[in-house]
Amino acid sequence: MTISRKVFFAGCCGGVIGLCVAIVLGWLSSYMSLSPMLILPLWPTSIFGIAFNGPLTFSWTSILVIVLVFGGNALLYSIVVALLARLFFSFMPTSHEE
Amino acid sequence: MGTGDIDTMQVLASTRTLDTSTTSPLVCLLSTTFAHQSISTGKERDSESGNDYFEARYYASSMGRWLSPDPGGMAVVDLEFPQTLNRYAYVNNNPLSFTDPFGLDCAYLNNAGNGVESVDQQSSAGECGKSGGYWVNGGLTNININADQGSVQMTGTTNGTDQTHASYQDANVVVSEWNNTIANPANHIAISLPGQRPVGQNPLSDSDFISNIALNGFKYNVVPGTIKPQTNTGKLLKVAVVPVTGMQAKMIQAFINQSMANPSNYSLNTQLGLDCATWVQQLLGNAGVQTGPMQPMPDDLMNQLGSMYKVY
Repeated sequence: MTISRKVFFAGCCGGVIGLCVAIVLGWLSSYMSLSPMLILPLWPTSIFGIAFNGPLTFSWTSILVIVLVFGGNALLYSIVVALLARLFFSFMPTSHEE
Repeated sequence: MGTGDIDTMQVLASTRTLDTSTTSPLVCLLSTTFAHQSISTGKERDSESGNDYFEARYYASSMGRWLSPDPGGMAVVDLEFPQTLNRYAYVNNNPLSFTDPFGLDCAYLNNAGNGVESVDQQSSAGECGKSGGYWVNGGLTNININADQGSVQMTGTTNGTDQTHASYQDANVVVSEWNNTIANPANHIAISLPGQRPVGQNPLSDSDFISNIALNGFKYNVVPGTIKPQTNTGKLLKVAVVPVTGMQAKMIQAFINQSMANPSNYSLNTQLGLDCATWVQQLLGNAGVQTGPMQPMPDDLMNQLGSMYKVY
């Protein structure tokens, strides 16, 4: 597997983790009040939904909020994880198979 | 006459009571331009402007109205008496029946809440409520206090015969934290008076706020705001019960009504506008209710209120 594929795979995993973190925190917040010190570092894109106080309905605003808040976190995590992976592999000695 | 002139008049009024031995040359110069004379209300009249000086504000006898609105703000408005909506009106536009020799009157109860400790005749309704007092139009003549029920009924007079009335009921204001959608894990803060649906500060348009914060960031976002009632679909997470005096409850109600009619901008930066938590804190602060330092995040505010009041 080439380094670029490994980085892409790591990015995809990061995206899934980011989406899961957002969903879990969002679900938890409907049962207990969570500290902003926990939410903002783990789910930075939740800032886009901070003023959204209506129910999620099938409207353009709701779709925009969901895409930005959940999709944005997935994208953010995937970028960060891919960058870390790229950094990691660039410092790793070349493997025996390659 | 513009607002600037009124402000100047009020500044002059405050300088006139100074001891001339300690006043600046400017104040002395200004004070020489005022020749006072008594009129039927027993208040001093400025010979130059023809306005009468009451303790709280100036009265233009030529126009039959106050030069500035009642300093008590919207708190002095009693919807049972619509004339009180006109905060410039003198004795509710009924000068043949009333005079208002004190302008304003405020009673403070003792610590036990079962008797009057003092009456401040130099107060304003706003200052009175913020300090935990009870206000009546004119001079206080009678007060009935029911300490057990937290109710206060006051009677005043503006001319010695006709009566004015004020009725107050102590109340618990409820500050509540809501989760309305999983897309907003920071939750929402609303406030309610007894028997009313909770209301809170929101952006007028959610999509405007989202695009605004995307463009301007956390620090410089600001959009028009609105006061919305809490929806039934939200989940109630925490409730803080804040006891207030009857006067403060009326002030809070008046501030809510004022915010509904003329909402502040919505912003996460308190320098530019108000978010839901800051709006509630400002509302309570305007009525003299202590809530501590400003906390823009709902969870932080509820934790802070938890150290001062009962939180469930």
